[in-house]
Amino acid sequence: MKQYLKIALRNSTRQKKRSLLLGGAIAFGFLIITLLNSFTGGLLVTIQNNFSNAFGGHIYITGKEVNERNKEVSVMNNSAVLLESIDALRMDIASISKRSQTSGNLIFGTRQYRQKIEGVLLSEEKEFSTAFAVTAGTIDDLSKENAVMLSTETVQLLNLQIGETVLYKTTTTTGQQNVGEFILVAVFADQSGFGLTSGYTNLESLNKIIGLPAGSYQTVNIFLKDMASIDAKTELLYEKLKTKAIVESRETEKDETEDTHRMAANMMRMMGVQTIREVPPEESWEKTKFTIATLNDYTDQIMSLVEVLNVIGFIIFIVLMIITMVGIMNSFRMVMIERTQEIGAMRAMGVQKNNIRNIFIFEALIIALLGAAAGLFFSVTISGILGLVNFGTDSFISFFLDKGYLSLVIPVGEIFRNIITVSFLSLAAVLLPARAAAKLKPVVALQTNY
Amino acid sequence: MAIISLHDVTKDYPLGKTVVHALKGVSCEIQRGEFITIAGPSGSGKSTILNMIGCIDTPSSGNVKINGTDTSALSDKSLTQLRHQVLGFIFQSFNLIPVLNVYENIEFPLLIGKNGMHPSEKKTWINTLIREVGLDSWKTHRPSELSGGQRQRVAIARALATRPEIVLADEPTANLDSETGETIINLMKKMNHEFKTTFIFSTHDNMIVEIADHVIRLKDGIITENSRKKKTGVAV
Repeated sequence: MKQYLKIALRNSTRQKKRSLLLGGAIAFGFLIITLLNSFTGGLLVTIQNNFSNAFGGHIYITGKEVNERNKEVSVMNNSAVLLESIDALRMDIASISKRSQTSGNLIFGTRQYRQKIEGVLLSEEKEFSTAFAVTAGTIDDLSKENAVMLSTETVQLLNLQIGETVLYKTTTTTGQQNVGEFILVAVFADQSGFGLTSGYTNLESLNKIIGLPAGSYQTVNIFLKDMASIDAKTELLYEKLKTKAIVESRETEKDETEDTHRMAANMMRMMGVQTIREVPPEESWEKTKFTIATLNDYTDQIMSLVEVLNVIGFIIFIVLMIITMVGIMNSFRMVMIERTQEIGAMRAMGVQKNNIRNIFIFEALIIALLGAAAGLFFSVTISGILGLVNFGTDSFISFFLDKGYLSLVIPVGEIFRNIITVSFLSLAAVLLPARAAAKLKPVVALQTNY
Repeated sequence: MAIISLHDVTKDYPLGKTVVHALKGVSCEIQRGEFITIAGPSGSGKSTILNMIGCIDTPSSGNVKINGTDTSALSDKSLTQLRHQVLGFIFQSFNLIPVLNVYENIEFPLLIGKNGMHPSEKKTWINTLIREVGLDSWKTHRPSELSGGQRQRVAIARALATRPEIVLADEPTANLDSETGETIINLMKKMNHEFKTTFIFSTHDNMIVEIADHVIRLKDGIITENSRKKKTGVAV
C-alpha cells in the first residue's frame, strides 16, 4: 500500500496548478467554516459569561411572599431553609451572593437615567471588591451609608462626580413610589454592555429605599465552579428545596405562553423591577415561595440561534464542497485519460484493479486533506489576529465580546467533523473516475494514445 | 515441456461494421531460455500474439498455455498475479512511471506483490540491474531527464526485477535510432544469456531479427516461418 500512497503523493504534484486550484477551493471552504465555528464557539462562552456577570451568577433564586394586603412581594424572609439546601452543593459552589435589587431613575440636576441598583451584602461577598475595574473613587467606601458605585457610562450621562449626591426614584416592594439619595463613591468600567450593567450599593442602604427590613434580601445567586454542571446542580437544589419549602415548578408548562410569562416575570424580578400583583385567596401561600432560574433558562434561545448559525454555515460549507467535488470529479476524469497508458503498464506489470483505484483515491484524499490543513492553518492565523483586536466595550456588540475582544475558540469537534466530511465528499467525487480507471483493460489502455 | 504454447489461436476485432481477423489459427511452442523474435510487417499480428502470451488480451478461440496452465481459464485477478510472477514487459513507448526515479521504477514491480526478498537483498538486486543496464549514475533521475535509449534500459531492468521466466518486448526499438536500437537488443541478449530468461520481442526490422535464435514470422495473422537458428539450424 505504501508504494501506491507514494505514487499518489507524487502524482498530486504532477499538475501543480490543478492541484493548487482544487486544494485552494477546499482550503477556502474549510477556512470559512472553521472561522464561523470558532466565532460561534467563542460566542457561546462569551454570552454565558457576560450573562452570568450581568445577572451575578449561574443559578438565581428569588423569593416572593404574600403580604397582609394579599399583594405579592419580592422578598425571602425565611431564607434559612434555602441556605440549608444550598449547603448540599457547597463543594461545587465558587461563590454565593445575597442581594436586593430595584430598578428606578437616577436624577441629577435636569438629567435622568434608568438604572438597576443592587444592594450587596458586602460582609459576605469578599470577592466583590476585586471583581471590578474601578476608574475613579474607591470601592471600599461602598459600605458607607447611601454609598453607590456606578458605571462610567452612567456617570458620564449624568455628568456626575465622585462625592456628589444623586437622587434615586424607585418603587418599594409594596408598590409605593419612593425617592432616596445616593452618594457616588466609585466608578467602574462597564464590561457587560446591553444596558444590563447595574449600579451597586450596600444591602442595608437599598433595603431602606425599597422598604425591606434590615438583613433581608430578595435573591440568592450562585456561581458554580463548573458552568457545564448548571442543569445538574440546579436539579439537585430544586429537589432538595422542594422538600422544605414551596418552590415554583421547574417543569416545562404545556402551554408555551405560560412558560414565557413565567420566565419574563423571573427576568423582571432579576432586573429589579418590583412587580406588584394581587394574589387571589385561592392562590395564596404562606412564607416564601422560591423560584429557581438558571443562566441556561435565559441563554437557551440565544444558544439555539447560534446552533442555527452553525447549521447554516455547515450547509454553505457542504454546498461549497460539492461544487469543489464536481471540479475534482472532472479533473480526475481528465487525469484518467492522461494516464491511460500508465494505467495499462501498471496493470501489465501485475497491479490489481483495486490498487489502480486506490492510487486515484489516495491522490484525491491527499489534495483534500492538504487543502483542509491549509484552511485550518489560515483560520487559526486569522483567529489569532482577530483575537488581538480590541473592539471596545462601549457599543452594543460588547455583549458578544470578552472584555472588548472577540473570543474565538478552536472548534476541535467541528474540525474533525469537517475533515471527515471533506474526505467523504472527495472519496465520493473520485470514486467514479477511479473505478473507471481500474476497469480499463490493460490491452486497451496500452494501445490508447491521447 | 514448452514454457509457452499456443494452440490454434484466433483473434477477431470488431472494427465498425466489419471484423478484423488479427490472428487466424496460430499454433507454436516456445522453449525456456530462448531469445525469440516475432517478425513481420505492420498489421501482421505481432502485437496481438504478444498480448495473448502476455495475458493482457484473450484469444477469440484456441488456447494459450504458460508453464502448462491454460490462461483462458483464469480470472482477471489470477491473470494479474501470473503477469506479476512469470512475465516482464518492455514497451515500445517505455511506459515508465513518470513520478518515480530510475531506482524506484525498477523497484516498483517488487513492491506490488510478495516476492520473498529481504530488503537488503532487494536493494542489491536493483543495484545489480542498474549496473547491468549501465545507468549507475542515473539512479535518482526521473524518466523525463533520460534519453529514449536510457528509458528503454530502465524498462529492461524493470522487466527483469521480479526475475520473471519470460520477458515480452513489443517493438522495443521502434522509438529509438538504429544504433541505440541495436544496443538495446544486444543488452536484452546479454540479459537472456546471464539470467536464462526467455525473451520474446517483436520487430519489423530485419537487421534485428538476425540476432534472435528463434524467429517466428507472421503475415496477415498466419505464421509463415518458425525457425530456430542456433539450436536446430532448421526450420520447423
